Amino acid sequence: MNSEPLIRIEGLTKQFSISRGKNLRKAKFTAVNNVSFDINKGEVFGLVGESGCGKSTLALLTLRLMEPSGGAVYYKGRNIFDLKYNAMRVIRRDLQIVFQDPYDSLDPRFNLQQIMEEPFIIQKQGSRRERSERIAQLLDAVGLGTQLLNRYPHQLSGGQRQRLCIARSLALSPEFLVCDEAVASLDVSIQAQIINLLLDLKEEFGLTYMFISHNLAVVKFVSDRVGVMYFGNLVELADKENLFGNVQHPYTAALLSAVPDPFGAGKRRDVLRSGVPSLIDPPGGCVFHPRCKYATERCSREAPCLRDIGGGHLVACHRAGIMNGEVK
Amino acid sequence: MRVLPGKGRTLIAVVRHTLRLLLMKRFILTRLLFTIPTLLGVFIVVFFVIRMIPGDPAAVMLGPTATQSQIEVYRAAHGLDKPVIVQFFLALSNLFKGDLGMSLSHNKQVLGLVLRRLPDTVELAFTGIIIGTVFAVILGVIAASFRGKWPDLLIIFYSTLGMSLPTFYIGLWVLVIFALKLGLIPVVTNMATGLPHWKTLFGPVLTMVVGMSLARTTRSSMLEVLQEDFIRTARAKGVSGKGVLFKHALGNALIPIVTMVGYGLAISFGGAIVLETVFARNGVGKLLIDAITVRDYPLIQGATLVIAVFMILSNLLTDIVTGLVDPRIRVSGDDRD
Amino acid sequence: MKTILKNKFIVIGGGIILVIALISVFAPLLTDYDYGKVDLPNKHLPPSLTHLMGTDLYGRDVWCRVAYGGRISLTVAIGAMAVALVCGTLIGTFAGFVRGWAGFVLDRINDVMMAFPMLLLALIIGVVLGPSLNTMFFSIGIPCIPMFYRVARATTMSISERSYVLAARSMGSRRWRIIFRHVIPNVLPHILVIMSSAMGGAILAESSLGFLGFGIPQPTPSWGLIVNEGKTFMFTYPWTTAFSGAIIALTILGFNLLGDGLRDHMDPKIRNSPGR
Repeated sequence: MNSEPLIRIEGLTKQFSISRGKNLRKAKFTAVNNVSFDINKGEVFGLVGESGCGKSTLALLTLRLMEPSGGAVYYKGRNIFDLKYNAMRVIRRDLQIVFQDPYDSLDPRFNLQQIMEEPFIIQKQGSRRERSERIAQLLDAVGLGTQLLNRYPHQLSGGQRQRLCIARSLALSPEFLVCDEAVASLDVSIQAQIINLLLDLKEEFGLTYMFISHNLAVVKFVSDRVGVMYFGNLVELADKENLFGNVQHPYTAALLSAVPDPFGAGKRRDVLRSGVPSLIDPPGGCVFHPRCKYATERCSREAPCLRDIGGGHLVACHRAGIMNGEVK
Repeated sequence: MRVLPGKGRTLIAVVRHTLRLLLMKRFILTRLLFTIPTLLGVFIVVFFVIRMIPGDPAAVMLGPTATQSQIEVYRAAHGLDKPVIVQFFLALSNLFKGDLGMSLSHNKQVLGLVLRRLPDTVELAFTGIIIGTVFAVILGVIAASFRGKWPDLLIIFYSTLGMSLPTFYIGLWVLVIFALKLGLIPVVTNMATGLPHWKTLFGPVLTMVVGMSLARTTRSSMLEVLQEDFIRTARAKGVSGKGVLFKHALGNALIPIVTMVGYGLAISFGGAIVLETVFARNGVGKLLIDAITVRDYPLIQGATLVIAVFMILSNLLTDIVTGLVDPRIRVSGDDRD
Repeated sequence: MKTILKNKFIVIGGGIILVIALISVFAPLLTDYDYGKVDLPNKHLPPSLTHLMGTDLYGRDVWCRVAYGGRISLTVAIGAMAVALVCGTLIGTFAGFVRGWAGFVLDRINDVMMAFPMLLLALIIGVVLGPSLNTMFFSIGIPCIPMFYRVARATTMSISERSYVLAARSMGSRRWRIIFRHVIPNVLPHILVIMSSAMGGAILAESSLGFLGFGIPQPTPSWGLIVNEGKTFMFTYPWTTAFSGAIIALTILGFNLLGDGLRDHMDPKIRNSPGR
């Protein structure tokens, strides 16, 4: 593994102001709160969390499809938010994304040929012949035939459309690919196919992934390292074995216990207390403390920092270690 | 609300209480605030458009019979020799004093002239909308209940036709039939005296009712609502057919209808201009038309302004009422992931 | 294409418009009379074989004036629509895509325009510009801009949130390319739906202006003007007003039916298309 990470995210923060609230002042809510982590070249970084925890916002920020309220994203050592428009356009070739809804990601007015050509046209790459060859290569790599080039997105199945989106994202030979719930809207049987395809492509093209999902089983299968987000905060980060085998943060533990286990009949589930906190009025101190059964007075006062408890396993919890031996 | 001793404190308390009420209806306040730039914009547009009419404003305002000295006097009196911006602010400050200038053809204050005619127009628009809507709702309900059968088709046909007939055309026919042929209503309203009031309204209102296409809208609104799930739930609960219709369906279908009435009031102002000409009623519309014909610019300016302001206010009222009636508008979902 | 023709509204509405348009275009072939020529001895003749719609107060053949009037009314409607469509769509799309301050200001300007009843605005602009064929494109076109602006803006706002716009941005596409390649083509179906009804509105506005006497001046025939000419004699010699008004109504009806048909036709498309 290279010493320098491919992507370094440092203190990334995004706040939205919404014009609601009892006063006339606009309320701000923090979608991403001071998140920092690295992604190393060649790895699959899994990002897990409930709906609304900010994972998709983080994904868009990482690709600068949204401007941050604070923080930086370093790609190969350069902060992408410092780049001017034209420099950013060049970098964009390396940073691509596959979205959750394949139908929404494709303009229904264009056929596959036009959709696949678009990246080349935008970046002014390749002659017509080179483009055709490359398009054929890409379609082959994702398992679509060139006879489909005349078809329109609505004529394809969900799985086929997602394969198309993947092929399109690979067109500019990126180094880094964000998969934002890339399989969530597909049938379960198709999900497996697409996941395996993504892993194959990673080997074939030497890609690095940020794989975002709310589905723990999928993340466990696919990732090398996993980060857990809760309410805009990164609460735990570890490599696969340590996260699932030696879970440290109470929220992660709760998530894990919620995964249905066909062989775990009678296993006690960790039911979280209270409900999802208010977006506008987040709890003080540790953002998870109202629902945490290990919470102390300190947890309601002081927000915990992400600290390394050994071997690259990071936790943001005052009570890390409390569960050792308790949770499997 | 505790009434504190002393008049001043009571006033403050009342104001504070009202403000709190208003603030709670944040929605109302937002709407109110948004109308201010619109009102200002309207004034700016009217002011500058009038000044775009080719020719020397003073000469144009005083008409072709003015002498040079009259023009000079007028210019000085109205500050037309000053830069446009100064004139604008002068006009604005006059506006707040209630001075919209002097009409050339009537030789009276513009504001007074317009305000005196306004009730006639409002009466016409209002009555027309109310009766037209009631009529349209009835027709819409009938059409929705007999969907596909002859009453429905007939109503659709009538509604589509009515929507296509120009207002002035319908008005002329109404005038011919009811005034000339049947002698029921006056031919020239503003010269008719001693008539029961409804007779003066009959012609224009009938025209409006015939011309309104609302029956189709109420019909489709009813049909849409009837398809909704909560209707099926009511039917499943065993509510009778008629009960479903009136209690559940109509209530919800009324929301867009209320909206239509509100906005229709503003739109019907345009129709009022034409109707007042056809039926010779002395409303703001006719005043404006006459003013344009004789190039009475201060009056054109003033009447336009008043009409526009009235429309804005009535739209504002509709927005607020709609917001109160339909909670979906007030609390807009804005949750981000 | 076949489904278009199966739609009754489109066929009937389109058919009406087509017939009227053809009459207007081929007016010289359909009538030998001179629409401006005054022929007082023959005034107020009832409809007959020589004068299909009778003659008016100046003895001019009404059918002839109506046929030529079609040219005026349709031309004004088309021209005004063109003005409103182009301006409204471009500005609306821009406002919907860019938002922020620019969007806010444009919205306020739009509010101001909508604050005036359409006829009133047309009258005022007409006073400033003077009544002629060319100016009527603007005096009627400008008040129609808001309806296109609103549709364009609302549609654009929802389209710009779509993933394929994000995908295009992630590939480094320039803003204008996105607008012209992805946004506007997906806005157009929504615009087309209201276009037909808007045409009907333009015809109505033009004839209303003509009726009030603020349209294109004599002796050029425009339908509203003809209605106005006949109104004083409606009780005794109704044909001038009756026929001209009927033609106006028929044309508007045609556009309304066409518009309804188009809306129904587009509806499944619109339901599945971007912008919903």
